[in-house]
This record gives sequence, structure tokens and C-alpha cells, in this order.
Amino acid sequence: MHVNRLRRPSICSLLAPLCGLGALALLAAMPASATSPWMRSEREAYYATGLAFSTSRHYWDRSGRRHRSGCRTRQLENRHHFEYGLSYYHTLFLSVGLETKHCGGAASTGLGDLRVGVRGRRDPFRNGRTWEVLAILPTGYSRTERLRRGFGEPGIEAGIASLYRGQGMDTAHTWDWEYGAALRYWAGPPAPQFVGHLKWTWPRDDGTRRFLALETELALDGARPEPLAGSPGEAVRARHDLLRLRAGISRRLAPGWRLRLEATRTLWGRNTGERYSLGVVLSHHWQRPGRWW
Amino acid sequence: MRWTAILWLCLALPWPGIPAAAAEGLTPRVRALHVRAGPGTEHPVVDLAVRGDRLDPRERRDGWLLVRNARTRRIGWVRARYLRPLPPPSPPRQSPSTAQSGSQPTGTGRKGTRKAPGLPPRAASRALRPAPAVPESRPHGPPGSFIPLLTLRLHMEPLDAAVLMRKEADDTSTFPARVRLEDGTTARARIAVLGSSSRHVRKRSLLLYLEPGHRWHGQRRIALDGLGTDPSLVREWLAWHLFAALGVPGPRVHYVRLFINGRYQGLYLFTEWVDAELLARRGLASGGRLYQPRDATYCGDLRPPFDARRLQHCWHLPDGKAAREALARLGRSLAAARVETFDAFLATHFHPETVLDWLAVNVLLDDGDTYNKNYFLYREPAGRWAVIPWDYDLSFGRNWDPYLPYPRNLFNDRFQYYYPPESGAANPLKEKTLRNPRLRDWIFRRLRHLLGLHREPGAPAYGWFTPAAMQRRLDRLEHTLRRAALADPRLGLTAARWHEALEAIADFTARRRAYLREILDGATPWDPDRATWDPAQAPPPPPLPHHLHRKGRAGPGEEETLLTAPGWGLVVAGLALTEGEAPAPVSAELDAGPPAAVPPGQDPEACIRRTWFVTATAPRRTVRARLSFEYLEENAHRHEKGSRVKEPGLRLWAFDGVRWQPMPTRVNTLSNVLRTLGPVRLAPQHMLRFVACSGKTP
Repeated sequence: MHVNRLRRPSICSLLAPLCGLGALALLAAMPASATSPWMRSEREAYYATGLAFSTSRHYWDRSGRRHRSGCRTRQLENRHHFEYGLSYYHTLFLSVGLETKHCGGAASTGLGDLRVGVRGRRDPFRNGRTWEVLAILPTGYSRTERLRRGFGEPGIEAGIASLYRGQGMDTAHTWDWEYGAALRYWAGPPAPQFVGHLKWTWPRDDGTRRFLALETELALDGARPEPLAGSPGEAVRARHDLLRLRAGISRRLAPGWRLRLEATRTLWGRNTGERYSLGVVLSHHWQRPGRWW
Repeated sequence: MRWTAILWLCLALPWPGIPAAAAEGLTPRVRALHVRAGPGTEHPVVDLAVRGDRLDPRERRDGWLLVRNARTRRIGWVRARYLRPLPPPSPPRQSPSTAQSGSQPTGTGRKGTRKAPGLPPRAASRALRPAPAVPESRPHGPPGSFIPLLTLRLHMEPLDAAVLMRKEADDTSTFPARVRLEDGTTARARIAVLGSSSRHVRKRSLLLYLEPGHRWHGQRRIALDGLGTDPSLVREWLAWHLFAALGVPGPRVHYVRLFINGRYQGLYLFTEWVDAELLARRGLASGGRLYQPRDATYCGDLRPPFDARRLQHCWHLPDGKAAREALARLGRSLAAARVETFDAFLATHFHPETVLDWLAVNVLLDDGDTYNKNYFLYREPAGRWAVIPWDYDLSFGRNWDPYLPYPRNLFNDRFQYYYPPESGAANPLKEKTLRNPRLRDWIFRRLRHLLGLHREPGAPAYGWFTPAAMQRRLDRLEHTLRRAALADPRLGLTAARWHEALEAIADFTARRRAYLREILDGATPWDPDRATWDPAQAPPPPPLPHHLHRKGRAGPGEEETLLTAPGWGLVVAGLALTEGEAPAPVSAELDAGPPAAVPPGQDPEACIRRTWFVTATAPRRTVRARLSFEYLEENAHRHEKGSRVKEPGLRLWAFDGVRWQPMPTRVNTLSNVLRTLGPVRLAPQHMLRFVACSGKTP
């Protein structure tokens, strides 16, 4: 029945395999980090690098019906994220991924979008209440290829995040939960998006914490497919809705060093691919040595 | 130095308007006299002296006298014209017993007497009145009786100032500020919160860096200890005062009143940073390397392994592989060194006095929060090492509680007098030094010297750790800091609570001294070869005695006689005979465990799990004495409080074999000491039984 409905004359129904291909490619290039409630101390630096493998064989159409894609998409991404405390009040951050993706005979390798922004405190006296403004900058990849690594348009994002801690002063032994919400505007065809997340973290032992997060991305124009620039008759899924589950565990390796293992699954979507991924992230934070003057 | 000389000259000269008998003590001419914080009526009243109180003069200024009230132990200023010489004490009188018949006790006493303790209010006040003068002598160490109180003025953006004091603990940001220097000019600075666990208390410590080329009281790096972890505010100062008196390398400290944008922010302790300048001043060769154990990892303990990863994990190391390898070599040498020849090892590799004095002070002050952190190692270019002590807020009885979660394991009211000399984390430098007979003997001689038991020729600070010397020091500190401490907006101190905390220091001094004396004399066995005992590691607690007994002679005076149990070193009871009484033989016993009998209406679970017995043992001689007892509150598992005890409401009850009688009691909830407010009549051979309960008194 789903197949019959799909065969109505529409761009996506006519080119379903390609639509799936394009959507998957875009989803994999979605910005990996959500709005963060964490501020860095002045002169404190943070760097994280991770390797994530993701794959997808199905997609949801605009109505939320699940279909098999024309090919399996596989993606390997090496993401780099850096933060630096400019002052007590402002943290600078920068993020970029090196990606390689394959689907059928198509392939794409190179840098994804660069995200650079600044984070500030909404409450000057406590951590865990932040605002964030960032710019999303394409890194020169072709906007016409089917497996492109981003929307190909510059965008800006503004949002807030909050963190609520369980109790006590010892952060290693408390649960906490956080949320983040942001609006993303693009310079070109992609529709404005709402992005949000809700995350729980709780300790396993002194150095280990577990987390579970629900993430969502909602297009503000109803997840309508849009034509692929330079390829008349083909569509991409820059406009999509999705709900994603992320779970993982992180372990402190040494003072300032953490290792995180995580798994992600897209639970539901419209005009987007059904993706599974596994990742490992190594992070380090340190105080920049040097004089005060 | 000049200040000290002027002050002592003033004290030595006769003061016009004050009778020659001032040296014998003064008393108000009027019924009651206000004692003020400063020489003038604009200063707040800090005490009330009544006619008959003995006031010991200390300083004169503009018709005002700085006096110490022997009854209340408070120091303050009074108008000289309202004073007169204290009449010589009248011969001792026997107060009539006020024994009355009463209700029967609920339980059967193991030991009871026929007479009740006498507690007439007038007799009690008389006993408290004329205390003997504490002989004043020049205190040890710089700078005599003068304790400077500095003022530091900062200017900051108001938001930065508010954030600095209120922001969350783990942030390490700095903020711009301007500092007013001694000459009235200002210098740019940056300020941040200092410390690790102390960052979590309401009043944080601060660190200030002046721009290059500027100094405040000789320092560019100004560390301000917020004193938020020590309710007495004096532990660090006392420890550094002791090190200075001994000539040990350590920082200079000064109390500071901090003002930001003209607003008083509180009392701080300005602690000189350990840097090349300090080390050079202390006679160590410059150009060496400084090593500091990391505060958070608790493993800077000189124990193997000495691989690069562990050393980096446990120490703040100087730059360079050579510096790291030097520490590794020291660790390996320490591990290989034999106990029998460790004195030679120490002489070869260390400035030995820096190790020995460090250990002596740690034993004396019961500082177990070291040996794996809270000290520095300095390696001179020629390769000799020195120990630089650091951080003494967890000393003088304040205790780590291994059974409580962080941060209550650190910030609590636990108190302990009786940790053995080796108390603290394992560290071969400590263990081998204490086990080497020659080095141990050196430390014991230094301890006897500091305790005022046996003078070492040529050594400084004889008798530094005696109750009288400590009391004088505490009085001076209380007088100097009183206004600044009580006005501190973040400490939330009340005068009563602060006084209690200071009294706890005095209690520790007397009891720790008694305990160490037992060990030094060999009356309480102590085996230096046994394993290191670290209270922070939640070990199985050493057993407690069920019954302790001690006979002794109690003397008159303000300083009480502590009867310590041989073999344990624990105090069974403290007695101070009323003035004029000749020393008398007494006997005290202690039963640990829930009391066999409690006063009528008292809930046994609201009582201390100890029973005390005291008697005068001389035939046909009744003595009158103020008594003190203590109870254990070492940690959450090891204490002697019934489950429903409310410490501030604890009251002593005495049973004379006929009835229970409540006694006016003062309890120090920090040092866990109970004191009778007035004298208790001890009839010959009539043993009195005491319990302490916090239930309502009928």
C-alpha cells in the first residue's frame, strides 16, 4: 500500500532511490554538537576528536512512511571540536568534520561544514545557563553532487541551553539533566529549523558516567523535499523532521582526559533517512599555561 | 622589631594613675564596668567586668587600659580611673555543703556515695572570681604580642566582584582589578579563586597577581586564605607561627581585612607563596626545582612506582625530563634506604632539619592531612632536598571523617586528640624517620622541648605548646581579630561560636600535650614499627577501653590537672581546685558504654555513652574543684553520643548515692569537653558519679 501511494506523481516518488541517497548524505552531515550548557573557565581549552561510523538502508518519506533506499549509505566521520574560554563570560568554539561517504557507486570525501560560534552565560553566577550564537560555513564542496557534505549554504544558529544538577558539590556522584533549544536559519533554500535536545547523565562509579539523550530537528515548513541544485528532477531532504536517540558511556582516563562511546539511532522522521551509528570520542581539557600578564 | 621593643618597654614602665599593685591585678571600683573593643566609648562593649573580677593589665592608651578578665578570659579596654588594686585573696574557706535530699536514681549505681555535690551559686561565682595570674612572658617567635592586621583595598567592576564571590566552585577564571599599594598608588592586578576542596565553602580563598614591577607588602603573588574551613580562624596562623619560631622554611602570614569597592569582604590570611624568594630567605640555595604533590590525586607520597606517568599524575613537576628523573631517583633511594642507617641517608640527601621539624610539628598538631599532599619538596642545584610544609587547616584536632561523603568528610565538627604520631598517609620519608632510633630520639627531644617538658640547649621555642602559652596566644588573636572576624559577611560567626572554636584549640593543646607526654614518657606504648595508620582510609578503628582509672594530684589555678589513663593516654577527667586550696590527691575513673543509670526523666539515648567517677582520696579532707570531662566524636561510626543527644543541650548530672543533681554545665561541642561552671565539692572517700544528658532538666 505504501508503495502505491509512493507512486503518485511527485518529484520524490519518481526518484525515490535518489531522494534517499541525498537525504542520507545530508543527515550524516548535520552538525554533530547540540547547544551546550557548559562554559569554559578563562584560558581553559577543550579539544575532542572522534570517529563515528553510520549506516542507513531505509528512509521515511514526507508522510513518515518507511521505505527501503536505493543503496546502503555508509559514512565515516572524523570530527574535531575545540572550545576556549575567552573570559568568565564568553567561550569560543569551533567544530568541523572530515567525512567520507559511499552509497552505491557515489562517493564523497572531504571537509563538512565549519561551525564557529560563541557561548555566553545567561546567569552570571552559575554554570549551566547559556546562550549560543554560531555560524555554519560550507567548506567549498560541490552543491550539485548527490552525496554532498552539507546544505551548501551558510547558516546561523541561536539557542539556549540549561543544565540541572542533582545534588551535592561532588560532580562525579550526581545525576544531571540538560536541555537545549535553538533556531537555525539558512541563507538559501533550506527551511529554518528548530533543533533541541534533552539529556540525562548519571554516574556508574567514580570515573564513569552514562547518558541518554533525545534529539530532534524540525523543519519549520513541514519537511517538504526541495530540488537538488543543478540537478533538475532530483530532490534532497534538507527539510526534514526527526527524532533521534543517543546513548553512551564516558570514562575518565586521567585528569582532564575522557573517552566516550556512544550509539545513535534515528527513531522517527519525515523526509529523512533511518540511521544507525557508533562512535568513539576522546576529549581533553586543560588550562592554558602561562602568565597572568 | 621596633614595635615590639616599644610595647615591652611600655609594659615594663610604671603607668601613671595606676596603682603599683597593678602587677598583682586590678578590679573595678564600681559594681560593673564595660569592657570595650577599643580605647574609647565609641567602641562596642565586648565584656562586662564586675567588682571582684581580676583584670590583668596589658597596655595603656589615653586613660584606657587593655586588660584581660581572668574570669571570662576576654580581653578589652576599660577606663583606668574605674579600677583599683585587687585586694589580696582571703584565706580559703570551706563552703557549706548544700546537699539536699532528692529522688532516687532510676538505676543502681556501681559506685555511690552518701553525700551530694555542693553547688551553691554564690560559691560557684566565688570560685570563678579570683583566678591566679597567668605569668606573662615574652612569647616565642616574631613579632611578640603584636599581631598586625593589614588592609587590602581592591577596585573591580561590580559584576566581576559579585561573580568572584558567588560563582560556582570549579570555575578558574580571573578578573581584572586594581590594588591600592602601601604608598597610596594603585596597580593593575588579576584576581581568581584559589584552592581545591576549599573552593566549595561559602567563603573562598583568593589569589591576586599584580602587574609586573609592583608589589604589595613585598609580594606580587598574593594568596588570601579565606579561613572558611576553620571555624577558629587561627589554625594556619598558629602553625606558621610555630614554624617561624623553629626557623623552618615556611611562608610568612598576616591577617588581612579585604575591601572591594569600599565594601568589607571579610578577614583573610595573607600567605606568602613558596617561591625562590622565600627559599632564598630561608637559607636554601637558589636556582633549584620545586615539586608539589597534586592536591586532587592523593599520591604525592614518594612511594613506588616512579614511572613518568605516575609522577605526572601525582606531582606538579618542574619542566624537563631531568627534573622528573631527579624525583624518581629520590624515590628509589628512599625505597632502598635502610632504617638503621636512615639518619645518614637523611644527612646526605636532605636538609635533615626540614624533615625532622616538619614531622615534629605534624605530630604535635596532629596534622594527618599531609604526606601525600600539602607539602613541597625543593631540590637545590647541588642535589640536596628540603621539605617545605603547606596547609594546616586540618590540624589541632580537626579531623577527616572517612565515613561521610565529600565534602562533609572534610567540613565537619569531628575532633580527635589521640591520633598516634605516625597518623597520616603512608610515606617512606615519614616512616623510616620515625623508625630510625636516632632520628626518632631527635624528634622526641624536639617534642619535649616544645611541650615545655625538657629544654634543649640552644633550641628555640621552648614551651611553645603549653596550655598557658597557647592561651596567651589565643587571647591576643581574639583581641586583634574580634571586630574583623565578627563583621565578616561570609563567615557568619557569632561571638559565642567563635569563642567556642578558640576554646577548642586550647582544649586540644592541653589534651594533646597530656597524650604525647604519656608516649614520650613511655607510659603509653607506641610502636614505631607498626604499619602506618591513616584515618582517611576508613580503617578498622583501634579498640576503645571499657574502663579507665587514674589517680593523681590536682592543683589549684586556672590550668586544670588532666588525669590521663596509663597505657592509653586518654584523659579520664580534668580538675582545677579552687584558689587557695593546696594540691590534693584525687582519683578518677571512666566507664565507656551506655550509662548503667541515668537521672530520672532522662532518656538514655539522649546521654553520652560514658560514666565518670571522681573522688578526693586524702582522708578527712574535702576539696572543691571545677571538673571537666570529654567524650569521643571521632567520626560518624566512632563516637559516644546516644542517638538522641543534642550536643548544645548537654548537661552534667552528679549522683552522690542518694539522688541525682543537675550541674551548671558548659559544653564545647567542637572539642567535646563538658565543664562544670562552678566548683564541685569532693568529700573524702565519697565517689561521685557523673553522666551527661541532653534531656530536659526538671
